[in-house]
Amino acid sequence: MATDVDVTTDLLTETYQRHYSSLLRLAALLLDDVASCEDVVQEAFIRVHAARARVREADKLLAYLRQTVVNLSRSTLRRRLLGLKLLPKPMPDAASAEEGAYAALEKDALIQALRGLQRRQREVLVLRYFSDMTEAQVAAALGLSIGSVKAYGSRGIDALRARLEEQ
Amino acid sequence: MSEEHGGRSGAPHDSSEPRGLDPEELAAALQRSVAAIGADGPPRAGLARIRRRAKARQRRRTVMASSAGVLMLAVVVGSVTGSRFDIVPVLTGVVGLGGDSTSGAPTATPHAGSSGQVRTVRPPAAVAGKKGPAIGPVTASATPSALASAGVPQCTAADLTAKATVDAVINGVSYGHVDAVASATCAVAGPPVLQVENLAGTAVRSVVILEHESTDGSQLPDVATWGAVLKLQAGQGFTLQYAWAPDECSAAVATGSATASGSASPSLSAAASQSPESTYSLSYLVSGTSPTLPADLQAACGATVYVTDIYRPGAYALPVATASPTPQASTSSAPAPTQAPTTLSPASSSPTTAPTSAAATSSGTSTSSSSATTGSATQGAANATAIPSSTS
Repeated sequence: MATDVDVTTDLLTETYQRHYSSLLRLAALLLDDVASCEDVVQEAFIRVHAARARVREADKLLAYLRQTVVNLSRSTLRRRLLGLKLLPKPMPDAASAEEGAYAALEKDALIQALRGLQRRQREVLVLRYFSDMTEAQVAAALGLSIGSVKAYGSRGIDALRARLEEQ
Repeated sequence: MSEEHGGRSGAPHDSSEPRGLDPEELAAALQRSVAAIGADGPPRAGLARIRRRAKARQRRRTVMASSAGVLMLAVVVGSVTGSRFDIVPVLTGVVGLGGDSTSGAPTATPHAGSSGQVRTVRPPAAVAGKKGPAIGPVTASATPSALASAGVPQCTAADLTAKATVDAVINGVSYGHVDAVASATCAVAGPPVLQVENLAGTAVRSVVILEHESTDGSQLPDVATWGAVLKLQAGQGFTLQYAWAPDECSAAVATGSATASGSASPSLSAAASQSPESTYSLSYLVSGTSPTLPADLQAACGATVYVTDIYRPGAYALPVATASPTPQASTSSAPAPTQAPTTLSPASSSPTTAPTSAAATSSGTSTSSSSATTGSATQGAANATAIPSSTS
């Protein structure tokens, strides 16, 4: 008979297989320093692993991961992920494969325009339109009111359009 | 929940659209920009590495927690026994570091079992993720892809003509609604965002805006959705309803109202002594930023606002006063709806502020038809922009 731990472990494995890439992309959209993307996502999974006894539903697990990625990305931008930098550089196989993709990202006009936005605007736009989350879900992930999410989203799109037109 | 957006084949985009980036195009462009990242899937040994590190971290935390527990224990034991007790054997015995675990440990440390393993004091568990302010249920369907599937651009302030009105005052609670009519084809998403302001700028502290629930005791209809997406043609509109329930005043403040007993309603008695703190204007924010024509409302000691989701006009009836208002023998300004959660007091739950309140430049006169709404529209020095909170 499968125990709760077995079930949550399988859930973690499934979530990892299905959503690792999208979480990596989410981090890439939130971070200026794309080299830290793998660190951030890996750290998010480590934290989820520690909390797996409390999170037993796939939706909540993914929401937890996204929120952790957002928070860690914010921390990384602020202080370059001081703690994670101490870790040995992981995933050499992945890093080499991703180099070209990250280089292309640096030249992407939309990404550059996105990086010019206020942090909150950027987070709202990325969660709302890349992760296809509802305003309520974005509000929950960012700890904002739905009204604030609407406002950041509306102003963020205006600012993004202005920056794209400048380019 | 998928982020691959298989269903974004949606609506054609009008490139002449001046409003800004089409949300659907923005979503597709974001997907395209990062499509190459992680295209090979997760690294093969990644999950094993994560598990290994998670377990190593857990071990470290256990040791640290144990150490902290032992230190606390040492302090407690030291303070209790003073100089009559040698703390060192206790420490070594509890953490299993060797030494004579039997020397005094059983009498001084009841948690230290005969095995000498760490089972003593644990630090309090980390607080679970805090809930953001004013978060509605996540069952709302208003995702960008849902909006995109409407096939029309999202409504902006320029597309909508909206006004808030007060329809009836029942048992001291003002019931009203907001009507919005679109001038062009567009889509609008709930839940609605309301803005309450007063001249004194205290609305942010004194007014709480909550999602209407069937158990809150108000006479608002139970709108089935919370976060509906409505596609509007030009001339079509939507409605939302709200209830304005002035909070009960504390005894000190209520003394003044008590002397005015016999007035038609508690709210009217409060209105008789209007002040910058007690006169509020409530308006609906289009797209969360642009306030509409407000309704004027009164509350001497703050208020609780209950609001429904948006819905098609006429889908739900407006509350109607069934009889002439009956004066209530109450010393308070007005009763809150029955069964209202006890945690709704302004002191314990305050509305959240919008990122900027500069948009609050509404003007115009009140469209209220209620006798309880007097005075002209206010322009708040400060405002409380809020979205209903879940009461759970």
